[in-house]
Amino acid sequence: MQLIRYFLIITIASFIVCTSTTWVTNKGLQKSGVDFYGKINAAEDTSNGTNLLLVGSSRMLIQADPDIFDSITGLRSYNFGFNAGTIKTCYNVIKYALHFQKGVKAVVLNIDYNMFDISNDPYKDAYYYPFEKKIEGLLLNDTGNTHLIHRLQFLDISLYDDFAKYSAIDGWIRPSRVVEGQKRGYYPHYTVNDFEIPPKINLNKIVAPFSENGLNLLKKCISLCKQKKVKLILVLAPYYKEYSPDKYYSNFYEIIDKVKTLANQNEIPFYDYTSMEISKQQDCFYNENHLNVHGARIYSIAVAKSLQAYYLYSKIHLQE
Amino acid sequence: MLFNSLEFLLFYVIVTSLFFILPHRFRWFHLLFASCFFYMCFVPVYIFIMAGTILVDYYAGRWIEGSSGKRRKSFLVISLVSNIGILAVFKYYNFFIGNINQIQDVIKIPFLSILLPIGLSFHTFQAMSYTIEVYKGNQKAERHFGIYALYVMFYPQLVAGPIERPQNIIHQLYEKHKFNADDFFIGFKMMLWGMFKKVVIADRLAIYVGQIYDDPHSYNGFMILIAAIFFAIQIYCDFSGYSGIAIGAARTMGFRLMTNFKTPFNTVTVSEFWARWHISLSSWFKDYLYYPIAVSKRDWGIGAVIYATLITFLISGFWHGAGWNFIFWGLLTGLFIVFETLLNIKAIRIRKSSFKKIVGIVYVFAVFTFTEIFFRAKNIQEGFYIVNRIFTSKWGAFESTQIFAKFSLLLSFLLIIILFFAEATFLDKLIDSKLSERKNANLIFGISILSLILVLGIFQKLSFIYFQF
Repeated sequence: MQLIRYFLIITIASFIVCTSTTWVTNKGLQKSGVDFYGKINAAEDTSNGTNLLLVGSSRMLIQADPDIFDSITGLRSYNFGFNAGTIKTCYNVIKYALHFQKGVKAVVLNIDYNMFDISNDPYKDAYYYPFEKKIEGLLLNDTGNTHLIHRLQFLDISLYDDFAKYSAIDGWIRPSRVVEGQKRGYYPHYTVNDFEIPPKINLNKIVAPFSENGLNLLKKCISLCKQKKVKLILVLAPYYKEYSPDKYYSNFYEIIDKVKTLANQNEIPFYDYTSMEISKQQDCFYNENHLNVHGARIYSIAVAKSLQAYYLYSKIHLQE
Repeated sequence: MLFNSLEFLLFYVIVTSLFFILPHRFRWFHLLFASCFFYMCFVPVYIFIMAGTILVDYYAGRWIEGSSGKRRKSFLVISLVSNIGILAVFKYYNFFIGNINQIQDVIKIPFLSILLPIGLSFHTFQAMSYTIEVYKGNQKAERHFGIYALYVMFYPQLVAGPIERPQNIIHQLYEKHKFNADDFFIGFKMMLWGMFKKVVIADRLAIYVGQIYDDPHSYNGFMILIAAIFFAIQIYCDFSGYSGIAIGAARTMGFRLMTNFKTPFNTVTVSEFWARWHISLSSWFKDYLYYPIAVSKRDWGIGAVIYATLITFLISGFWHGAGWNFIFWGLLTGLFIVFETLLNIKAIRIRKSSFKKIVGIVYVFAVFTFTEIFFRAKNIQEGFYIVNRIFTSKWGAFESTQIFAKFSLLLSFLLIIILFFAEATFLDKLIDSKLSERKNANLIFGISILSLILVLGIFQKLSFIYFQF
């Protein structure tokens, strides 16, 4: 009897601790205005009238300036680029944003050769999308365990990692924190020419990880945008010429061709900027894969103009 | 099936409940069946290897008992060779072939593409201790095949120990265990604390350690040093956490497994540390390797001790992993013990002075942290690279592009302080207290540890480090 009483008390007490911590954490996350959760909150916030989503990995995060997009296209854009984001992150974010933002006209999705390997996606569904219960079927490939725990809402706290906990505390303490230099999700890098002279290229190319499941998620992005009547534009941002991934990965073009084929089949534009003039200019890059603020400006203008041209060509005016 | 998984929780509840529901005569079968199921959750087909070694050792034990002289010894040799043979094929074949291929390029011997059976080194050593004890006459050969199989396969200690001796466990498998609320209570607390150490501390530190050790070239000496310190604590929490869950799970059913860790960081000499770290393995090596070698070379005086120590730790290193870094790690640890032997450094003398005690604790921790660099590094060259980088690279600030990393680091340090404070002061007594004792303290312990596990645990199904051995 004493043993049962002991287990009963510790279970109830732990339940109370977990429930209240989960509640406090979720509230904190909803207050966060920066980093991942800041963007998730921005995706929910309909007051900004966002109607152009710039989605991708860090190659979108630090390379697409929303102000430039807005000035050229006349739209209201938001940068939903995430460090190390894969196609899974992109799909989740597009689905999440389109669920809340009813006036979205276009999504610009940055394509990377390495985004289709979703096994190492850093953003585990269950704790990086804590409010996903609002959207059916958002969770993609978490393990059965996390799904199971996720259904027991009071245990959600056990799924959050230190980043989520930090963001929640930060959300409570500094709800209006602004990170210097960041604007509407865009995170420019000001360093110029801050990487070493390229080493000799390794002639033994390796195979970049790729999974068909990743490609299927791109198909899901396409059908989701079609279903929501949102234009999807795929872009391939420039790499610094000397470090171009085709020199390192034997299947780089193969992956890109798969995406191009998919784009053709679905009649969606695929803009390849890898041969842009800035890809040869080291002073436009922050590192081998990322443009600095100077390069990002040139690139943003190019993409925004292509976007505008595409719409003109389609005879569908953006403001309609 | 990992201890830190929901599957195990379900498995444990079913197995333990059925254990007490079933009549005593069926319990051995129930536990054996459950243990087979537990083992087969990893690589099912390896159960046949297990069955093979159990058969060999079971009959070897009976034949050893029934014979004498050279014949008796030959049965022991058959048992040892078959056990070590399996270990050699699965664990060391590729290591030897790799080295042979490196020193000669006439014939390229192919590697074996096989997975290491989980916990092979553990149950092989447990099986060997049975035949050795029967040979020595300390243990009667087991007649009941099922009980012997259960001795090797008992699921709580099947994959990562403690490596039990037959004298301690076989008689318990015959005993009728009635449900005992105090045993259950104590076992539960052991499991809870073990789980805390694993999912809250070890797995949290593993994230940082993994990041640095995977790419040491990108971090400054200060960050690598923190990773080295964290790994020393991670491996302790990981392995002692596993042992705690294993011993606790057995205790809830009334079985008492041997203690595997006795606050090893509260020691003042490296020799004392190794007497309190992975006790079941250290005592195995001491009884079956160190003493026989030291006795056989007793004419050498102190030389026999040094020789036996170095050989024992070399083999211990090799037991841990098929790599030169493990061998070097073993040798290095042995050298520190030899150094203490030569200088006649005794823990009992150091403990008399508080200052010397603190210096001793710091010394032991520093030595352990240093040697574990080679244990964790991918190879011996990288081990040296890491050591070199700690001492020669510029010590910058804590660098991370992820702002939350400092929060994570701070949390880790806080949890480590809680761990060491609890283990150095009240924890053992609290865990050993019965239901009727220390009621409030036990309640606070249960609530806080369970809540900490749920709130701060890392539930990414990270495997236990010692599963690979």
